[in-house]
Amino acid sequence: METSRPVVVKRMPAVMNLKESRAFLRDVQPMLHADRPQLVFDLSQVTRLDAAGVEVLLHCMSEAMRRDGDVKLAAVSPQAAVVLEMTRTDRLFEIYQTSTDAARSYSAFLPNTIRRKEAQPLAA
Amino acid sequence: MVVKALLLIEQEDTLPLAQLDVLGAPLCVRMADALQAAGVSEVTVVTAFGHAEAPQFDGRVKFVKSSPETIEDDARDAYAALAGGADALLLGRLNRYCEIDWRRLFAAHESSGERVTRAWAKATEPLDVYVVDPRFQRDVEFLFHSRLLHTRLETARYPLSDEEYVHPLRSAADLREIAQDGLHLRCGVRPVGREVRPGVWMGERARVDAGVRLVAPLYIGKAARVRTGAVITRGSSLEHHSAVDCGTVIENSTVLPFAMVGAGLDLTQTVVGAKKVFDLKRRVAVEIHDPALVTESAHNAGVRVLAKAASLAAYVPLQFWRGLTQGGGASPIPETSTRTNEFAPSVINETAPLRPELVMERYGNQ
Repeated sequence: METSRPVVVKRMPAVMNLKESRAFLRDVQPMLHADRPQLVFDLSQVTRLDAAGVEVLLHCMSEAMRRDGDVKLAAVSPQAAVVLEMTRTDRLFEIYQTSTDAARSYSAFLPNTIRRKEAQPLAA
Repeated sequence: MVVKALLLIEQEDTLPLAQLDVLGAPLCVRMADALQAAGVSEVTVVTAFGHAEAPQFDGRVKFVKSSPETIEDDARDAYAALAGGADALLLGRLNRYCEIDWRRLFAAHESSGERVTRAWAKATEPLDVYVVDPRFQRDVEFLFHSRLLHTRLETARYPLSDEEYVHPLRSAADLREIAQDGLHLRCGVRPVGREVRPGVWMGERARVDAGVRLVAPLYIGKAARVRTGAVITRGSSLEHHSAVDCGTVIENSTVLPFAMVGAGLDLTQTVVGAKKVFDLKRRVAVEIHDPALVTESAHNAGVRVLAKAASLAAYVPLQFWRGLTQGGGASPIPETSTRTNEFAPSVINETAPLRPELVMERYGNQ
């Protein structure tokens, strides 16, 4: 069953420069090495995102994809959103309003779920 | 009739909007030029952004650098210096960019016989543009006291016609809109430079590398540089001494003077400058600390040349040092990066089918 694996939500630090990015990557590295990792990065507190921070996001995504997992972004602050759009990386990630939405999305797009959701308004 | 003018640039935004270039010339310079063309004998501009770069008036206009705390006093001093020998004085706050028929305004003031005439954009929108009679000192004093917002008595009204153009100057978004209006010929803001092809204007010494896609209308200012692979489109303007690096897309954006945009970026509906990105869709200003994304070149020409020479001289030692410390890796996160180089020579073997990019590498772009 797709939903049985855990979803890890990780809050990113306010500053994602070279030093902080390395520390963040060190933190998430064990999670990325799990089988089919499902990660959500909460960017609500990010006020400064450098190229190194973007590089870490891309690195995490490629690592997760290599193991048939995914990385999703949630609660992206306006500052981070500007940098992600500017570096053309926003289109590579699924972005959600909240971490809860992002975590749910790992199971919400199963065909059964979609059918159930579609059926509700018709029944009403 | 001898008319003189005093224009005030006050703190509305963190940027000195009226002092910044729009299509090659600052809006305060454009207004001062229009006033002088309409017969105003003397123009003084007092700015609260004394620390910012002064616009180039070529000595035609007196420019007074002040601060938000002292601008009122400095404006009074400037007024006192101007008032002598003038039949009428134009007082204006540059919180709006105005293209007014100044001659018609002065004639309307003269024929009304009132002490003060105020310009109105619509029936309900008064502008902070007044023509005053310097003999009535109390009215002028009241105007300065209210920071050119209110008058002591009822004034004569000068309603703007449909041909006259007014645009607020409250944020960076307004600069973008005025640039768009200028490029689409909706106002009198004309690009300073040569029209190299329909809708594409370039200032002197502007450099555009081969392989750059330019989609009209757009403006590339004096000594600006656009590197190969970049795309400039949808009414963008690159002001003087700005630079756009390889592969970057600039769409409906303004790159302010001396701003340098890094390689491979995508800027849409933004104003870039002063190490900041003003996102007009989200209405947010983001400070950028990473020079790989956005930075600013030195305003002084000598310093710019020295910086270029230094970076050129440091290039080989820097590459050598990088080779020693990072083992040839170009990633900014080498310590924990486990990525393997898929394009390493060992991957290429003669018997295996070649990937398209490797064919390109071996035989060139044929």
